Amino acid sequence: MAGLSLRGVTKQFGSVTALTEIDLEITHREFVVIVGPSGCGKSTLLRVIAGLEQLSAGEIYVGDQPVHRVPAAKRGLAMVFQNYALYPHKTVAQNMGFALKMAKVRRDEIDRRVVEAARILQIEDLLERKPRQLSGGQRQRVAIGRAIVREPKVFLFDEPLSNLDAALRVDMRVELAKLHNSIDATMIYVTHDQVEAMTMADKIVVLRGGRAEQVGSPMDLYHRPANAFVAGFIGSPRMNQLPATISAVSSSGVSITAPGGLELSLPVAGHDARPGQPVTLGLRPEHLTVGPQSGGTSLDLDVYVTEPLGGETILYGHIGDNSTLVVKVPGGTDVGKGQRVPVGVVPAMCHLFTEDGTAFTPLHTNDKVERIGASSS
Amino acid sequence: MGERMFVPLMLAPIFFFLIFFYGYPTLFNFYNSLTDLSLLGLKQGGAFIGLRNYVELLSSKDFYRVLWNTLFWLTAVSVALRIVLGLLLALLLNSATLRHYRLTTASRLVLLVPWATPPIVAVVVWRWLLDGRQGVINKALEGLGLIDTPIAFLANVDTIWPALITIIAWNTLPLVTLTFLAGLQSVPPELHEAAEMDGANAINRFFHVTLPHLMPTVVVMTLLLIFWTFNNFVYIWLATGAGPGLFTNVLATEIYIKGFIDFELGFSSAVGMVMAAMMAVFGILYFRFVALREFREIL
Ligand SMILES: Nc1ncnc2c1ncn2[C@@H]1O[C@H](COP(=O)(O)OP(=O)(O)O)[C@@H](O)[C@H]1O
Ligand SMILES: [Mg+2]
Repeated sequence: MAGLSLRGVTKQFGSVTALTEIDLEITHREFVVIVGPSGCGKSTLLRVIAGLEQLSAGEIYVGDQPVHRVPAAKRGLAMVFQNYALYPHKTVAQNMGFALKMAKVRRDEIDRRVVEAARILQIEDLLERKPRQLSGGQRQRVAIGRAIVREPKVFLFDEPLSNLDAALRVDMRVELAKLHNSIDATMIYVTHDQVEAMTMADKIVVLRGGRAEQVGSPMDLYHRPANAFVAGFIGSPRMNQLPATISAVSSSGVSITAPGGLELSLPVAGHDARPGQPVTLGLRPEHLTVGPQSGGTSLDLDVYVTEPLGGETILYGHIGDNSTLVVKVPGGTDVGKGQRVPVGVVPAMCHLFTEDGTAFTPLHTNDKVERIGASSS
Repeated sequence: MGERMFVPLMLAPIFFFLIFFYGYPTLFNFYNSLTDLSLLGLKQGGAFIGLRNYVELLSSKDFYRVLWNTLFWLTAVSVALRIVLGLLLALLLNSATLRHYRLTTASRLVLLVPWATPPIVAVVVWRWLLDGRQGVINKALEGLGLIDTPIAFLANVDTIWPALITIIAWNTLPLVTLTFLAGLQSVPPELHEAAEMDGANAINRFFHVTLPHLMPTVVVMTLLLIFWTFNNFVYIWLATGAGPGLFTNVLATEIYIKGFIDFELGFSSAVGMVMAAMMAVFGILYFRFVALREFREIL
């Protein structure tokens, strides 16, 4: 059916390069999330796929059809815009049926499909209203309904939930996942919110400065970030990244020294690493433990802020020469501001990056990491 | 002091001005329209003659010709023409092509030229352009071989109204165009993009996205143009003096002619009252379609 394939997609606005040689294979029915900070080219990528922008170089295929010279309307894609872009003077039903009307579909067929989509989205009683008589969440549903009615091969979402309040956002996230399960279509979803990316995606594309930094499943990106940027972007709170120095390299791994007198032997491939080389140590807040350590390595944390969230507490503290370290602990943990606590570090859960941000390759098998990750989180 | 007192207090100056500069003169004019006041007999005043001026006015054939000139030619045709042309011109100025060559600003400046021209200058320039003997337009048409003998555009009964409307449109179309242009530029681009994705071509997008968005502007502009044009005196008087004969006579020029050429101030006042009544109808329409909606949004 309809997979989607981008080959060397490049987009320039005058002298600004918004996208640089993006390659991406999307299989039929996949839910792909494109994530990245503001201005990294997410919308541009989506608009290039949609056909709202002409690409400067590269190719786009829907199934095995090249579509990059095909006008937007003929690509068989539907887009849900960030601010919904509902036609303000048309009723909900007219909004949803507009594409079919343009395609000269029969009146009763339009009505049937609009009612069907409205039923899926539970907006049947809103069909005669105008957009301005709807709440944000309802408009969102109408915008999605307008896409569903067309029965597109691919749905494109540009930050569809960013205008909703937090509670509604969580609800809509679940609904979109449900919708994806119930209809036979591929979805490409743009967001700057890594939580949305992690919770909804089959496949995440992390974009920075118009380049795809890494493409993979959420767990891939979480456990095996290709570089320090992806590592910092995926996961919340952000991964701690501490400056460190390589002290020794062996076939079983790389030894480093880090702030706070931390000495670690990490099971990563050393390759070209040499002693004395500056590196970055990555520690996820949720992979650190607080309390007397039975084994492994530990360092002392001077806590200066605690953020109790109920189920968990985030500790902010200093280690050694004033480097900041963030630690996530279970909610009941009895640690207060101003206290010094020992923090345990498990070498297998550490990440190591070269100075330019590239990750060192872990030595052990992938499932082992995931098992440790699952048990500690 | 409560809000109940505050609001009337703030509105008081406005009402003061309305009463003294509109209410009083209107009543005074209405009284005059019931007399046979003459411009030559202002001191002794006119004798009260009841509704005789109105009866005479409404039963004269000339009045209906003047009314037709005012309502059809001066108002309906010129307003409709400016709305349609203004819309087309605004669409052209807003087109991707012009924007691509960065001509939008330049063309807007060009548009300001006719608009910044005072009506009297505009009329004088156009009288010269349209002149039957020396006129540039006649020269050009002859040069192109389109006509054999020159046309006296502002004297020939077949061309005089089109010529007048051309002058009015030239002078006031820029305002209409710029207003519509502002409206066009406030259409959210995503709406066009959404429609594009929905398979709407340029014409469909105009009727389903652009025009509905512009409709409030079109309604307001139409009503304002009607206000400005219906009682306009300058263009007709300067261009043709209501002639030839009284061929292009309209209500505004009729008031002037009756009052200051025929010296019949009482009758002239009656014409003014009829005109005011018609303006009131437009005013009610304006209130009904525009002001009321704005009030509702405020309240
Ligand atoms: N129409 C445009 N003209 C010029 N530059 C643009 C245009 N659209 C986007 N850009 C630039 O491309 C980059 C990516 O923008 P965008 O795709 O909107 O980012 P995002 O959606 O990730 O926040 C930005 O630097 C932006 O300034
Ligand atoms: Mg964006």
